[in-house]
Amino acid sequence: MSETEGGDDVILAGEYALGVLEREDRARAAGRAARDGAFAARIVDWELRLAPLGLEVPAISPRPALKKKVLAAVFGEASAGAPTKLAAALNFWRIAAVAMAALALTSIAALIFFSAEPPERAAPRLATTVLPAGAAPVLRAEIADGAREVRIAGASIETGADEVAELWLIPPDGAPRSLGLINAQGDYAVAIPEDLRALVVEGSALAVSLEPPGGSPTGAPTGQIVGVGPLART
Amino acid sequence: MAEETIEELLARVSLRDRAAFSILYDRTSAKLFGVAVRILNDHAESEDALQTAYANVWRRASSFERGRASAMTWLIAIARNAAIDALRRRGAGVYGDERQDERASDDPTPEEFAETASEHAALRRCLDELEERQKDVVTTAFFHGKTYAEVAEASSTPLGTVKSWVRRSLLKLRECLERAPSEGSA
Repeated sequence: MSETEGGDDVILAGEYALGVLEREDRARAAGRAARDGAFAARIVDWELRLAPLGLEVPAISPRPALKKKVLAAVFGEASAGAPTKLAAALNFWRIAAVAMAALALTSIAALIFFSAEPPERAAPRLATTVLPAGAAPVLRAEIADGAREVRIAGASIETGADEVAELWLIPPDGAPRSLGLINAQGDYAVAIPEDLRALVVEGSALAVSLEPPGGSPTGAPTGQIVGVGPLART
Repeated sequence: MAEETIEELLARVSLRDRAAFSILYDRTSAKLFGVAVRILNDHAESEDALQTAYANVWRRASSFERGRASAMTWLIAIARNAAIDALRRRGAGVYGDERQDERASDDPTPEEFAETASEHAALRRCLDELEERQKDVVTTAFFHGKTYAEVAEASSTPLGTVKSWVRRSLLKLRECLERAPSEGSA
């Protein structure tokens, strides 16, 4: 791709994000983004640059009845597992998913980010991923094909005196599944139980929560979420 | 215990926590609905757009990258996108009900959106570096979801001029934001 095309892409992505494209041009750009991860990533960049302006728009409370409708639609869809009606309007997040998928290696990797102020380390070799500027990961996880284990590198999780770190697998639809307690620091591997391997797909995520000694008493995360990282082919 | 931040709620939502999603809706829906209504000028359509937006939030919460933007910015981007998609689907010559008798909701406390406010301040500073007419064109497009042709007509400016203003403005904004990202938070 030439320099000129790159520059044009930046502008086209900005026009898409701003919303000034006519209907056909917008549809064409959305189609392009669905195939072209680099272009999709540019759109997301612009979306996040421009969106803070929305803070100026006065809030308007929607009718109270809408909430019930939204929850029913969202949770109903989640339990049905197969979104249909809403799928047509998912351009933005399809684009975000493609943007992540564009970072292609052979394994599935996740970066889990600190929720608080990031410490200053671990960043340089992550530059090829979707690492946000200035943030350091809680851990880096890679899962090779076959999904037998999560290889964890550079774990750096702050735990309190009576807290342990628990690793979770979050499937695209469905409840989080525990992958067990993990060491707060270091490099190590965590086995993935056989019955969960099918859930290790793009669109799933890994998360770390802080739990009481012995792990979550309920089978679902109960404590503070330290970080969440979407799984993407990288 | 202090109230959870939008970021924390979003983290819980990514773990399929329905209670957190319900709270997130309570805390953010008025803002997002305001954004949709401003673009669509139609309550029924804005409700549909809001529903689409929250469905996307539920499905994509785990893709939210902390540290890259504030959670509210991410949410506004989703809502705005759903509204613009709806607006473009509506097609030419169809307009919203133009109802302007909105009862504005109480805005959440400023500290609720503190991080987004500093992103907003940085963006506004950069917008202020643009020429007045160019800034108007960009903000009109942003707030009302107008296309190039609609902006040209509304501002009685040739289409080619509007396009070149917007393109130049976008590049200037990007350059400015990269030069001084969110220094309002310092």
